Amino acid sequence: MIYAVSDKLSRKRLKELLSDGMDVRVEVTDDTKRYYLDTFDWRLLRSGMVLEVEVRGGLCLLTWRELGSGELLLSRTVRTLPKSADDFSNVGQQPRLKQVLGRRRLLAHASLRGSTHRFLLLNDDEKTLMRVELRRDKVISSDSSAYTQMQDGVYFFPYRGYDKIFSHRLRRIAKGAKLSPPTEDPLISALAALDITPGEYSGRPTFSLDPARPSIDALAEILGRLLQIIRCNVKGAREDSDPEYLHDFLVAVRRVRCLMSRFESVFPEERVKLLQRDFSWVEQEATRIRDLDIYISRFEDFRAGVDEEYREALNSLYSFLQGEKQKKLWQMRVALESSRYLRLIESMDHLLQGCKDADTLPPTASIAIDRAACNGIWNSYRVLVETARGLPATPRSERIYELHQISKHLGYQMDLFRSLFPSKRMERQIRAHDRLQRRLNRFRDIDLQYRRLQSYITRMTKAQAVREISMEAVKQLIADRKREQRKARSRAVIQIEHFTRKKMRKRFKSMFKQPPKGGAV
Amino acid sequence: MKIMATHNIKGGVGKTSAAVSLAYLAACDGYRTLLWDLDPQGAASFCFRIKPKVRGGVKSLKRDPFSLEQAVKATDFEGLDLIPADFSLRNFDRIFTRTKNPTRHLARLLTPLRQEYDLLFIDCAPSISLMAENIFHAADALLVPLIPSTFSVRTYHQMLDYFHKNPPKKLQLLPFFSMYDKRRQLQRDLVASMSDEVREMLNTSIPYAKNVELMGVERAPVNQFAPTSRSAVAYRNLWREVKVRALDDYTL
Repeated sequence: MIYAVSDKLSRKRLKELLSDGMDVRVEVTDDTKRYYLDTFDWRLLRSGMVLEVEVRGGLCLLTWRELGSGELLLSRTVRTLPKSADDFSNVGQQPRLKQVLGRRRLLAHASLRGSTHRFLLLNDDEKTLMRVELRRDKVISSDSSAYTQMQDGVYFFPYRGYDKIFSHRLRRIAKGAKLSPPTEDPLISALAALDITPGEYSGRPTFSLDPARPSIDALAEILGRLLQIIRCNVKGAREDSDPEYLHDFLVAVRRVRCLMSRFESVFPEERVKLLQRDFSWVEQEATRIRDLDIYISRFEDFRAGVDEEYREALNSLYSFLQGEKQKKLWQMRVALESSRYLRLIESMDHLLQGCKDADTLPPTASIAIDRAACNGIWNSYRVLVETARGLPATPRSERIYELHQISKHLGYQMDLFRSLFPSKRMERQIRAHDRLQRRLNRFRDIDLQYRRLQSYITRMTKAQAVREISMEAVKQLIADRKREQRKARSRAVIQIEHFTRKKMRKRFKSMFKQPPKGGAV
Repeated sequence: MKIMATHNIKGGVGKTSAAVSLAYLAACDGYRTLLWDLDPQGAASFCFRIKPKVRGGVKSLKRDPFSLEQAVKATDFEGLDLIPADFSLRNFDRIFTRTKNPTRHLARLLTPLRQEYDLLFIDCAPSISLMAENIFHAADALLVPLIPSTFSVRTYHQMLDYFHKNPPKKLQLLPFFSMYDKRRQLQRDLVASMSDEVREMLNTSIPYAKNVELMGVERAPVNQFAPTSRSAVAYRNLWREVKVRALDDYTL
């Protein structure tokens, strides 16, 4: 529980109020370092939670609490600052944290320095019955050049099984010292002091579109938001502070490309072609690192695929992948800092601004968005069905790649235009598509891993002397990937057949072939 | 929740010290840990400065299985809670003996706590009684401290005989040597021969050391007040081994 302190409350008075005839031990830490952790897109904060870490004597005291009320969800001492939900592997709340954080990394958004007076209420056996902390913190700016003093706060920590004494002392202190709940959570105050506005970001924006709206307007709105996401994530992607920056960046780029290619007749032709070419270049640069990121993040699963005695020997492959990633990252950094990239973003801005000028637009720009969306989705689905026609039981990888690409475009359109269609039916179609996309993604990932491993093994031997055991381990891994690839291929084929079957075709046709009532121009 | 009990028919072999130390180390490792002091002597509760008293005593547990939740007390260490001993625990057998499935009461009592904790350590009283049978039924692993002496080894064999006649469903036996005095030739010989004979024997032995006895004076786990001592290092090694043997395939 958190309370704001009135100016008149001294430490002596607080001790008196807490003690009430019992012993109180006071511990003072003059130089407390405290951090607020969250993902770059504020997942914890948006779920109404705060993760706070206090560094004390080489250990980190982790406090996970509710935003505002300060109710304690977890308190633990850990040796190192947790970087992701995986670092909570022994902590029973991990599933809940994992659900909120996903694969995202925890970043320190605000750092505080200050002093903490810790008051421990003890019984006759010197057992702690409750803890009260008086915190005097200042928020340090990111370059450590300035600080802002925060309002003093009193934090109450209950001990299980001693609830009565806790509520009694809490009432007594709150009344005696005239404590009041703070007007805002200390995290919010700290962020405000740093000029950070949290909680605005979403990597998967949703749009509520008016079906009758001219498509150029609606597309400009969507592209504008996607451009915002690109801008938000480019720095994090360059610095590689969390692989999810790059993920969101890449997804936004792919969505932009998809919309521009599917709806190219809506935009001025010449400009769109140039933009398409440059976005394709950005996507290529980013995809290479994303593929390596997936490889590295799932490396422990790969390890499990080889015999136990060879697992350690895969370390040389792991270091090789890390090295590869650094090289590609450097290339991507150069690309994303280049004038070509800056020009691209600028041109995109111009294009979106130009969307308001009706004279320069082609006549198709005024078609209602629901009709355009129907056409886009239906055409993509039709192409998917056509491409999948006569698919053998074990198709070539290139054919599945092609289907993967078409399916992705279909998925993006269904997701971005979902508000234009009856929600229940649309959700059902999206779920069916998600199942297909998952299978296709898995096949693509495994197939790429299998192919690249073969080239890595050649390059590894060229670059350094690789031990025989490591070579054997990589060979085993290749065999394992080959097995997985076979499984993933047949599963993908089954799902493709399922998604293009007659019943599904009928559903798509009824939903998307004809524009919904009332929306057509 | 994984349940581990420290048990031996013989008394004074280091059950409480092991339970207290292992529970403390588990909590330090980030496991949500609960220690249940089932020995009416209440030594584990004393170690954590918690009064050995459960409101309503053992009878209340029979009346209301959820009363166990209310008996839980936080220790002074993050992530470690304790259910204190109560002198009425000596009547456990008498109270539960004439009930349906008398050996399954303990497992039933623990149901409300299963989601809350990752690990439960039970510090048992030295006996083979109805309470012990309840523990054998509920526990996943039984940590058996053995003094390297003929009598102690004999009691271990008695215990094995008991398990041959009454095989438990899932119990993993993890014996280890406790109060081991390296200076004694007899103990050295016994440790060597037993380690060869008993396949499940853990490699770590807890030394006979002053610091283990000091736990009763300091009223804290040895790893807390003397973290670099020989005994603290031994308990750390023991915990590592227990984790590998009993928690390896266990996903929290």
